[in-house]
Amino acid sequence: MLNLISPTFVLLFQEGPRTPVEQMKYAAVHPDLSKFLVIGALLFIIGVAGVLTRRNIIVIFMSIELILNAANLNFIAFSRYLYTTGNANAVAGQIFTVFVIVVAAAEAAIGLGIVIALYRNKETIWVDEIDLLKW
Amino acid sequence: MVLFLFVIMLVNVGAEERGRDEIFNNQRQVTASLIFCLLLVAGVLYAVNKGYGGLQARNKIPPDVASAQETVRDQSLPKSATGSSSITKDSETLAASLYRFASLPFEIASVLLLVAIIGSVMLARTLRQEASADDVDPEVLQVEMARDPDLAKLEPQSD
Repeated sequence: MLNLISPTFVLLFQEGPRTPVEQMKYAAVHPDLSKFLVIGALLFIIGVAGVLTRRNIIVIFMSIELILNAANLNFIAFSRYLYTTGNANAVAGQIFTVFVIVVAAAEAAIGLGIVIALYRNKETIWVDEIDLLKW
Repeated sequence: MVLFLFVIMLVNVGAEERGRDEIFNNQRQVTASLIFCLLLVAGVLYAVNKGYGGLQARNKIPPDVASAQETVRDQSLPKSATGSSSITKDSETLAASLYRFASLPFEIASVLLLVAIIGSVMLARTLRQEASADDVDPEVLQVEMARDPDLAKLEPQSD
């Protein structure tokens, strides 16, 4: 098991100076692609766990926002990576992030409107009590 | 986030804070989601271990050289008025390509936002607002008027 995950830690703290503390300092100042990807994956996993486990519909919406922001982080990280390697189209990732934010805003507005309408009709925001669409 | 705050103020979430209600779903859903998350973690570890070396091998410039070049480039940029940051052309590039290559998606996104605003306003209307706009089913209105006599005053007079 340790054998399996140790390359990840090597990647997390690889380039530059010698001692572990110096390495961590260097990695904090010069993050490369893998750190952003790991953070993005962690955000995504936290979001998925929130969506699947929580009962409160507002917390579920927040978790969906986390998932979208994980995708945004990946876009930005790859954009930065392509920029440092000299790709001319690197800015496409940032443009896509803008559109993801727009869609997230629209989704939050509509979703919260639905929450208000639901609460007015059913007096609950627990998702396990909202089973109108269940067969 | 501001939207979320508004809805949290509108909807009663105090019960969760007081800890009377269960926060989480049933045991089954929690177990399933934990298994799913563990699978995701395993996938991430596998992907990083497997693919990242190849991604780095494709780099024409090694990452430490690239970051050193970035530092030099940052230092050569003009300082802003306060001196705490430097002026880059990044936002200019982003804006130019947003309007040049993505102008059609930009317009579509603006329409999408407009539709979302209208839709959320419609969804969040109260019964009184709907009654004053004469937008309620007559049978429903009869039932609701029995409960709340003030609704009759709001209804526009038909001629």
